[in-house]
Formats: sequence, C-alpha cells, structure tokens
Amino acid sequence: MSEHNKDDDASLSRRTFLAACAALPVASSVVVDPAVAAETAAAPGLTAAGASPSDLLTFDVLIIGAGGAGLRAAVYAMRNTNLSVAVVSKTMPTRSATCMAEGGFNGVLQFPGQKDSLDSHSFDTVKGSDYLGDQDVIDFFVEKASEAVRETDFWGTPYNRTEDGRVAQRFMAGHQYPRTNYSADKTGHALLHANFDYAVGAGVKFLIDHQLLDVAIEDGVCTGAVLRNVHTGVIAPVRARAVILATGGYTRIFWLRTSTPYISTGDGTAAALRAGLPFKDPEMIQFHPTGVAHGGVLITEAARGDGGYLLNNKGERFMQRYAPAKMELAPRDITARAIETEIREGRGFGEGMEAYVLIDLRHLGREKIMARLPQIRHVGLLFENTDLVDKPLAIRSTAHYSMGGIDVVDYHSLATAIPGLFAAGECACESIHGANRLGGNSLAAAMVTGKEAGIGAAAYAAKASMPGEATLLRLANQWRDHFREATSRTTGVNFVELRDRMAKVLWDGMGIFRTEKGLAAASESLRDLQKEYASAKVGNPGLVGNTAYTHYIEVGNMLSLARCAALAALNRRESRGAHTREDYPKRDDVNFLRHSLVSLKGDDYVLDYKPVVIKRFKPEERTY
Amino acid sequence: MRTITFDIDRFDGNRAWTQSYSFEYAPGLTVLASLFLIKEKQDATLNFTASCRSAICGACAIRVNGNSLLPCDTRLDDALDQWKSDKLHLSPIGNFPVVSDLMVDWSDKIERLRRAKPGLHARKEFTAETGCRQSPAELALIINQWDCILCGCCASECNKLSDDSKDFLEPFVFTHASRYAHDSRSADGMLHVKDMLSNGLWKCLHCMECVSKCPKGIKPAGDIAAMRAMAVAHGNTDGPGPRHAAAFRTDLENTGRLNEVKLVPRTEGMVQAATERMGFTLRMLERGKMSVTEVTELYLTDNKPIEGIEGLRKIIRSEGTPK
Repeated sequence: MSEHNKDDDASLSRRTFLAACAALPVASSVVVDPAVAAETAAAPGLTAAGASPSDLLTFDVLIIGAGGAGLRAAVYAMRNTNLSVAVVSKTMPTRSATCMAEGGFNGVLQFPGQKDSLDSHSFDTVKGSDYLGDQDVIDFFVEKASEAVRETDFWGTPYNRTEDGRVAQRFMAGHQYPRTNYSADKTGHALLHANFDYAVGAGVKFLIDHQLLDVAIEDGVCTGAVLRNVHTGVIAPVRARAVILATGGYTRIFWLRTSTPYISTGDGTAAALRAGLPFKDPEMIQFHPTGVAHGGVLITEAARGDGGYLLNNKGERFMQRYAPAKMELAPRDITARAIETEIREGRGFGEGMEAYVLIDLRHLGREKIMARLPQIRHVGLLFENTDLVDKPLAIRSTAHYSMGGIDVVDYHSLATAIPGLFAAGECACESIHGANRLGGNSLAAAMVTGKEAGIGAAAYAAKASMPGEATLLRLANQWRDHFREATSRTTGVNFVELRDRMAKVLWDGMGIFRTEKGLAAASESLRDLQKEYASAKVGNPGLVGNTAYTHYIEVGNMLSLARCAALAALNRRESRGAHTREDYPKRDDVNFLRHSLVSLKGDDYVLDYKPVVIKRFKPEERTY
Repeated sequence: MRTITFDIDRFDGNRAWTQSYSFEYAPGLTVLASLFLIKEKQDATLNFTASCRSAICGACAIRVNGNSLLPCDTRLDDALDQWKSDKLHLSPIGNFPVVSDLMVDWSDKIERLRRAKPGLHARKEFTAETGCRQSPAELALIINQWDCILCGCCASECNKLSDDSKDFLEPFVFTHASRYAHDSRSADGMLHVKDMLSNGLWKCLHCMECVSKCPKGIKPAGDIAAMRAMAVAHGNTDGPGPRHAAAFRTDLENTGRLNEVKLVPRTEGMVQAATERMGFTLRMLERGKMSVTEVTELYLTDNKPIEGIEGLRKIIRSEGTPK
C-alpha cells in the first residue's frame, strides 16, 4: 500500500479540508472542488465570452456525457469558436454504451454503381419506426449520417474496407440495401475511440467521475448544472451558458434484463424531467430477443443467422409455432414475443426473472462454432458456465435501446424547449427512431445529433449573457443536504433491493407483452417503490469515491423514468413497434399516430401528446 | 459449504487497510459478479468501477494476486484454479493514483495520452467531405492496436513506469501513437512519433509485462519497437537508444554474438563508459565474472563468428528497414 500512501500525502490535507467543508452547514458559500478549479483555470478560453462575476466555476458550453454523442458535441462546440467547453462524465469517458455497439453505422455513401439512396434510407427508417418517427427529422438525419461516415473516416475510425479502399458496408435487418458501415463486430468501440482520440487531440477538457445531479433553470433559461465529484464527494454548481445532455438511455430500468452497461440509467433524462421538460415516447423501449439469462449480455443475431436452434423445455424448436417459414430467422420482435410466450405458458426453464429458454448450436459442430462464433461461445462460458460446443445456452430477451427521451424541439440545433438546454444521442428524442429503431441507426444518430448539438449550443452560448447563479446555489445546497441525510440513514430497506424489485415489476408489467391490468399494477408498484426509496438505506456515509450514493441517485432517476414509461404505455392503447399491447394488438393511427409527452408537475406525472410529422411517406401496414 | 475469501485492499482517502470478505461458492460467477455480491449483500462502502461487464469498456480492471486483469472477463472458477486457492487478493491496478479501494483516477492519464497527438491527421488528398481510402492490407497493419479499451492493465504492470514515470509514458499511450503513425491515411506518421522520442521511446525495459497482461492481445512493446524503427528511418539515429540498437545489429551481423565489452562504449560513448562504468567493470573483474585477458581480447578483436553466420546475416539483411 506504499503507493497509496505516497499519493495520499499530497492530497490528505485537501481531502480533510473538503470533508470539513462538506460537513459545514452551508449557508451561501459555495464549495468548489479545488482540483476542478485548478484544472479549469488552465483551460484556454475559460472567460472568452466575458469574465465570471463570482468564483463560480463557469463554462460557455457544458456537455454531460462522454459517449459518442457527447464527444462529437465537444469537438464541434470548440471548433471555430473560442468558447470554453468541458465534458462531464460519470465514469472515465470511454465506458459508455457506445463502445458496446457491434453491428455498424448506417450511412448511404452513394458509390458509383450503388442503387442505394438517401431517400431509401429515409423510407426504411420511417417504416422501421412504425411511422412514429418524424419524417422531417429523418430526412435531415439520413443526409447528415452519410456525411458523418466520411467525416469519422477522416478522423481515423478504422472501418473495414473493400478491395478498392472504400468503407465496407453490410446488410442489417429492415434495410433495403447494404448501408451499414462497420469495423468488424466492434464498430461502436472503434467509433467511440476514434471520437475520443479526436477530442483528446483537439484539447477537449474532461471532468471525469463527475455525476450529474440536476440542471438548473432560472427565469426560464438553463444556467448550468449541479455536479458531484465522485472522487471527493464535493457537490458543486457549475455555471454554463449552454448545457448539452448526452447521457444515454434508460434501459437499466430492467436492471439485469438489459444488454446495456450498468451506467445506462437515464440520469440526464431524469434531470431534464425535473427541470420541467417533457419525456417523449418513454414507453418505446426496444427488446432484443437473445441475451444471456444471467445479466442480459447480448447473444448477437449471428448465433441464429448461422443456424442456431431455439428450444423450449420439451426440446421443441418452438419457432415453428410463431414463424414456420422463417423459424429462428424471424424478425427480432416476433422472436422476442415467441420466447416470452414459451416462458409464460410453462415451456421455459426456471422461474420469475431467472426463467429462460435455450439456444442450441451443437449441431453446427465444434469447428464451425470456434471459427465463426467464438465471441458468443466466450459469453456463454462467462455468464452461464456453458460451453456451446457441448451444451445449449440459457437465453432470454433483453432490453436493448431507448427510443424515447428528452423532447427536442429543434432538430437542427437539438434545442429543447428550455433556452440553453440541448440534448443529443440516446437520451434525446428528436424523433428519429419512433416506435422501433433499425439496427445501425443508433451509432448514426449519436454521431449526427452530437455534432449538431455541439454546433447549436455553441451558437447559442456565443450570444447568451452570463447566467444567474441563485438557482444553481440553491440546488447545490439541496443536494448537499440530500447527501448528508440519505447517507446517514441507518434504517430502511437496502436500496438495491428496490432496484431489483423495480426491474421485476417492469419486466412483468411493461416488458415484451403489455396489458391494461399489468401496466396499472406496475404503475401502482412503482409509486410504492418510490415511497420506500425516499427512506431507503444507502449504506455508505463516506465522501471519498462513494459509489453507493452514485447508484442510489441512479435508482431514483430510474424509478422516475419508469413511472413516465408506465403512464405512457398504459394510455397508448394500440400496438406499435416495440410497444405490444395484448389487449390492443393493432396499430391505431386514428388515435395514436402521435408522440406521448410525460411531464412532472410537482409530484404528479402528467401525460400529453404531440403530432407526428408526416411528409411524403404515408402510414401503411409495416410488414417485411 | 465451500467458502471463497477475497482479501481486498481498501482505501478511504485517509486510511489504507486490507479487508477480508467471505461468500459461499457458486459455480459460474465472474470475479466482477463476486464483487457485486459483496458490495450489495455485505458492504456498500466497497468501491470499484464497472460498466459493460463484457470486456469492451475497460472500466473494471484490477489486480488479482498481483496480476492485472478484467474481472468481468475472468471466471472465478478459473482464478481459483489458477492460484489453487479459495482465497484471492484483490488490489487496484498499479501506477495509477487510487481514489478509493479498487477505484483509480484516470484524469492525469488522459493528459498524458494527449502527447500521442491522438486523432488522424489525414493526407492532403483526403477530406472530411470525401473520407479516405485505405486497403484491407493497410488496415490490417493497425487494427490490432485499435482493440485497446484503455483498461490500464499495461500501465499497471509496466516496470519502467513504476521505477520512474517522469521520463516515460503508459504503454497504451505508445500504442495510440503507433496506430496513427502507421496508418496509411496519416499525412505524417512522425507527427505522432516525435513526442514519443522525447517521452521515453528508447527507455522501455523490454520486460514485456504490457504484452503478457493486455486482455486484448495488443503488444505495446511491439508498438514501441516499431516506432523506434520509424524514428531511426527518419534520421533519428543519435542518442544511446539508437546507438545501442545499432551496436546489437552490428555484433549480430559480424559474429552472431554480442560483444558486451564493446556494447557499452558504443551505446554511451567512450568517455561516459570509461568514467561512469569503470567501477562496475572493476567489480566484475574482481568477482571473476570476466577475466582481464578476455576483456582485452574482446575489446581488441571480437568474438569468432558463429557457425552458420552467413544464414544469420541473410535473415538480418532480409528484414531490411522495418516499416
């Protein structure tokens, strides 16, 4: 431990000082983390748009989230401006969901001789969205996606190549042409690191391990954010002329039944909700049919594509009941519903959240499995202790993507209804994906909306006056009080139990099959869970590196977002895209060709709607 | 009941100690899943980081019994089997400031990464509007380096970094520089190598810990070697590092054996070798490691060429100037 102690000699006094500060009853003084202050004092252009009138840490553009969208936003907020920009990240920047994307990045490149067109990408996206996508946004998106592929190539992304040196493209489900640009089976990883490298090279500043607690709104305008430095425990207001939320999705509401990382807890969406913005189409959550039974990590479609069988507890290839022609190659939603039906009707294995069916690859033979599906075999060994060469693997559907998000009102700048507050990437709803996202459109959306948000926020910040500080200071004080109160509780239920109960409630009531009764029960349970949450035990009173408190806040955010989703799902009495209502199995364009908007009014969750933008593609039945 | 024990190095900002946690053995756990079991069932104050739990985000790297690895990608069964023990010692990765318990601080590492000038600076014929061209063979030269997930395992195990981090960089920084230096799309690979030269490119100790510990099969030491070759090819032949390499090559080409007596003066220059290494040389003679006649003979003449030297020379010359 000598190395720790060596390090600590220098920081001991600082930590002691901070601990003392945090313990003080804070009246009007503001504790600014000295480390942060020192870091940012060196940042060029900190006061480019006017000197700060107080000691409050101030940026022109503050970006929350360092995944694909946040990094793109940062580069573009700095480009051709002298604005001070910082990227806030709950973790080290490269830990985001972006790095887990495998398949690729859709963008039409229109090489000579190709039949593909922007119009075709537009249509496929609209149809994929089950007509809930806004068509003006989608037209804008596909054009910018095409540009973004070439630009990220220029930035260094190691795309796979054709023999003549062009970016290679593959087919993905739901597309008429191969337009998914890729880097092996780890496109998201390659793209994220190319963007991270580019941002690091461009001098982007990072506030690492800083958790977003709230965005501040004063006189109707966004004035910054309250952040918690996870290292020191210091809760500090950070003033900003513009804030971009790029915090990713909220599929962790299903906790262990999602493919996304632990950090996909919708923090930005929840903060926007508290700030008064509507949460758009929260009920639209995509499920992938195959994730490992324990922990939800994706078993990619390659397993079925290469001939894997899905089996129930009778050893039957049950897909013959649901898609006799396509069998295991049926589309994602049909396969996911088939798996859940088998489990529900008693033909699965295990019980409750532990239930599963099997995927069997044994007939492919060891050689083929080792050569073509080594990663899938590895995942099987890791999570289920199962070698697919010898045994079938336990799998179940897994929540995969959040189509819903923060309501964006101007898709050109990614502005929300609150001046100064922008949203990009999976946490934003523009809406590109509507009720169902096509494979390869998520990385594209992150790249496009991140860039445009960066440009939009910079243009806004350059003209915005210095924001007020009263709300920021008040919120920071509230959060300091909250930290002290919540972490000092010695009774109450362990909050992680609430998280696990939430996941089960949602999986049962708002999962792949939804009904009036199930959704009403889920809403009721969520209300109870929220009550218990308020007095639940965090279990760690410490300031330094307190990851228990980090997670406690995440669970609170997820409970709130889950209530929005359940409310919108309950009232959307139709089936569209990922939203399957057993009691309303048909799409209902007369009543529900519109976006759900859930807002928080005091403690009440209020549902409203807004129309979908239809241009040249008239809604028709979505069949493939 | 079979009990598994994790001895975990704890740190709360002030105090450092080792704490034992025991839990009931269950088959099929990963080391990361075991850590979550402890945190959620036993002790909420235990701090560690994790995100993707599938070996692609790099968040969870720690040391198990002194070896850096990704706990999400390590089956508990395999770890217990490897160490033939139901007790494992978990610590934070090395060569990083520790925040708390197994959680380390990356802030300064990102600042050090900037020295690689990451990000492609593309050749003139490419534009942001048109993108680039690159053949599959050219991509193959750099694609392994793109597997880096910034987990920190290489830096954790780097002996040079442990000894002195002021004149050296984390192995992953060299890998980042290398993937742009050797990218056919780059306008000038040396842009990324120049700063590596002044940040310890020739100071790697060749212990190969970075190579053996990388969970993604990357070889940072190989990237360092490749950038050295590029630097030499661009005329950066001065300094002890390049001279040392040249001396090795000369010896092997001439006789197939290293002439240790000449190696030091060739590397460091006669004056420095004579003044700074004399004590060491005398001690070697005194302890009988070498005899005076042997030293004199080696210095005045050389080793006799080994049998089959022509074959060796062919191999060396066919290598030519590395890419």
